[in-house]
Amino acid sequence: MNTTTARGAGLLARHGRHWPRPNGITIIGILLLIALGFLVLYPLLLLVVGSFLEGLPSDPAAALSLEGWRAVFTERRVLGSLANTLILGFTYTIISLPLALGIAWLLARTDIPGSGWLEFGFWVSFFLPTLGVVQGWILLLDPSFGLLNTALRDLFGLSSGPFNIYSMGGIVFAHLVTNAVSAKVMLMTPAFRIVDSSLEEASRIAGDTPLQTLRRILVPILAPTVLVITVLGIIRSLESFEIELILGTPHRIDVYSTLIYRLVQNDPPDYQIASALGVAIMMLMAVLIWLQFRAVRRRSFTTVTGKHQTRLLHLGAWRWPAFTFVALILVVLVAAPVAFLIAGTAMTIYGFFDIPNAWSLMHWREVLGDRVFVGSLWNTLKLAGGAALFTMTVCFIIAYFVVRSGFRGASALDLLSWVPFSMPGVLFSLAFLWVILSTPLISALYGSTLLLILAVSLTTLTLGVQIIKTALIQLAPELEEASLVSRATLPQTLWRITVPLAIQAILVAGIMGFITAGRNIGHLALLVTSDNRPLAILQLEYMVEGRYEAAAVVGTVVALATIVVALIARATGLRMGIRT
Amino acid sequence: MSIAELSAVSTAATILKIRGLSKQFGGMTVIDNLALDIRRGEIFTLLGPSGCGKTTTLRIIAGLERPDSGEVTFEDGSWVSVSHGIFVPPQKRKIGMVFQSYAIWPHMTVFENVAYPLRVQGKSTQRVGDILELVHLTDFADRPAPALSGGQQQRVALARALACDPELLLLDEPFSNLDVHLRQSLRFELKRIQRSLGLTILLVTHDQVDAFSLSDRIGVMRKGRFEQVDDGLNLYERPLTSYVRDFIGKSLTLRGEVTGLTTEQVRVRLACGATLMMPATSADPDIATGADVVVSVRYEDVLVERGAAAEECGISGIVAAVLFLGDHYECEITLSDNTTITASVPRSMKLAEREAVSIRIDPGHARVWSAR
Repeated sequence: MNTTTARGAGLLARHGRHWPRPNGITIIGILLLIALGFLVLYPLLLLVVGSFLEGLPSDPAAALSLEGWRAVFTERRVLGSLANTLILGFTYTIISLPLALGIAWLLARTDIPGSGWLEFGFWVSFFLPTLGVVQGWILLLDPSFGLLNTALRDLFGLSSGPFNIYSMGGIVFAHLVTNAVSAKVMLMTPAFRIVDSSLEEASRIAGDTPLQTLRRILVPILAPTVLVITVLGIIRSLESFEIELILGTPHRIDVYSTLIYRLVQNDPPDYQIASALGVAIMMLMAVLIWLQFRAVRRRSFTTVTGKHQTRLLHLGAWRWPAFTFVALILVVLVAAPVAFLIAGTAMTIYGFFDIPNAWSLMHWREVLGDRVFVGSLWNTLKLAGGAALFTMTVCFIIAYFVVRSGFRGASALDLLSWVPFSMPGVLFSLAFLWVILSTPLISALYGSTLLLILAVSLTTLTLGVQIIKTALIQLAPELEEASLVSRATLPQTLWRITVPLAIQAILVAGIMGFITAGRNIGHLALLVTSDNRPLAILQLEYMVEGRYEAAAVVGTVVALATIVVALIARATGLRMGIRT
Repeated sequence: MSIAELSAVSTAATILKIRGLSKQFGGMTVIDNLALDIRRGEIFTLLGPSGCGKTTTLRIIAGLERPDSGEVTFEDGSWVSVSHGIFVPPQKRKIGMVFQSYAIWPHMTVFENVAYPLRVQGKSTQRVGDILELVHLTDFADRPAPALSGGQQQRVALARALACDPELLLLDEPFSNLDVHLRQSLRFELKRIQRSLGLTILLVTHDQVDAFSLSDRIGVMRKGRFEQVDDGLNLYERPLTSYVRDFIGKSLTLRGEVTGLTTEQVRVRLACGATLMMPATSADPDIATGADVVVSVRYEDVLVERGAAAEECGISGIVAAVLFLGDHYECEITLSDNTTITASVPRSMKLAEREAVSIRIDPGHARVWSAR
């Protein structure tokens, strides 16, 4: 209803023409825009500038040069990394999309047993730290000591193999068992649930089989949503560079993100090629997002009507086979890697079962007694807690401005909040590094936890704003107006009425901020020093050094903490979905 | 209310003054150069269909909406003056407001809801007990707000609005979500509370019964303007415009032509053939002999009798359909010129379809309008 929105927006709105004096709302709004713009756009801008400079932007002697761009278009290792990026991304998207569609349909539209817990399993999988899962699978698929390999060799009398996780195939597999499937299932299931089942029934009555119905009715209706989720999936998998770093290094398989990491870690660091490569990926992202927007805009479906009824399809004799199928996938995604990760912590030497004293707790004692571990744990808690607080506060303020202020820049604010989500973590890490290197005032932050909190919070900013926005839209403006009329000031109203009524969404944003910060590597990789190193990076360093047992201990701690937080999230009724 | 009291109110000082108020939403004019005076201690009602601008007017008075132009003055101070750039925020306006949805905060108990206005000002919450007693909610103080019935929620909203001793109480469709019986008892309650506290109330409603039963004065709104501001009796008996006539109460209208006009009487020959003689005071002043007119008469001033009319002033017709409405019948009657009218018939008089009837109009209560 027109008047309703007009009224809602009118709560704080001032109309520039008649109220020429700048007021608090406009000033705060502009400050927010500047702050967010600085946090989000300035680093990317520096990245672009840096790709054309031989040296740092702060260095007055830095000369203009196209050397970085020449490398992007001609150097074999750069082109090879780009090709690997595209091949890998394409392969696991092709595999994960139909798989996730099928699972989401089973969970949302059929009477599969235990659908709630199965869905939660994909939640856990999504939030599990990538590195821990990969490490669990290394224990099974390492070409020399992998348990699955040794077992198959014994069984069939092979001399080597058969599986090698340190390969392109291994990297694809690692993506599938970490985020590629779980993220899609997690986002698609709620979307599938809200489609009016009468559409499906009409197709069934017309004589289609359930599978035909899925293909002909459900998928086309949900096409925009599926498209958005697919693009988000590609962006998310581009974000994780730790998989490629661990599994690609032995055979020198590089993707763009690991190459950026290596270029910056080089001595002397090659910032220019790294930046040019980063900007190239940014442009690729921009094209992807533009295509997605175009596709979604052109085909506007009414997937979500006010009244909808969901009638579950009866699977009949297929109920338990379907359950077994989904449960087995969860075993591969969650149970197997976590079990072997934990087993790995209790082994004297990772993967060797035949040596005397194969099992011991020496690594636990060693790691937990190490000052480095304790420091990292403390850093992680500070980082995750800080990120949760930052996410809750900033996302609430932005969401409130977008929904309620009537401030003219509100939609720009909304748009800015989407930028971090569409940029891979390593790129932001690099861009932030640029800011630090070229801005003297901020360079003081290098090595501080605050810098890491800022960098890592950006990952959750987009989803946090969207979740809180949804909650605020559902909140009748009259509830706040009643408070203003009751002689409460605006801050009193926000604190006593709005925040308590939207608290669930705010907590969800906070929990997401906490989990993401706790397991994040990509956003932090280039910013961490030994002073502010969190557990996830410590685990990565242990793995790179070949200290698998110690890495497993750290990974187990992070994974268990993640599962606990996910359980808390479930208990608070956390729900998430993409609405198009 | 006695005549003495009524005149006391009508001579009371103006407490709220609105001049030149206009507001547009997305190019649509919602309020159009509105002027309004509200007197201390009265219940003033903005009455009109949805979209007439009444709620927007109320929200501008509350400070929840900003007008495009105009002034709102309360007592001696300005609340809004667009030309002087003055805008007093809602929390500084000393008002109480009851929202249509009640806007009870679901995360608080009844007591906390009512105590909220006092708490945010750092005042003692001692008053809350008295207010809850006033609205008969003492036993519900510790209930969580969502566990209340509609009528109870309405009373919580009223209690919360009264908590700060408002100088002006704003009510936005306060009874619209309640059933008929509850409405009636809450109307009595509201009037009792208003009289005992001497409150000034501005009420917004589309319900005529709310408006007539509660108001000292009513402003009928249409497209952002007042059609007529008057007390209920005058609005009912002497509507100034055909819009007010048709909007308020139920009227029967008949087309005709003026065939004679003297200082005492106006004679109208109706399209259906009958001729009516009415006092000249009942006619629009701009009507002359030969003019096309509409004769309107309230349902209750129409008498339906069995059998065709004998005299010239009687109107004959055939019953087309009969509806039983519980306490009376409503009949659709086709007249000789093939127009249909609706009239109410007492329960004691059961008419059959296709039965011939005559319709008698009380000339003292009929009005003659220019047909335009």
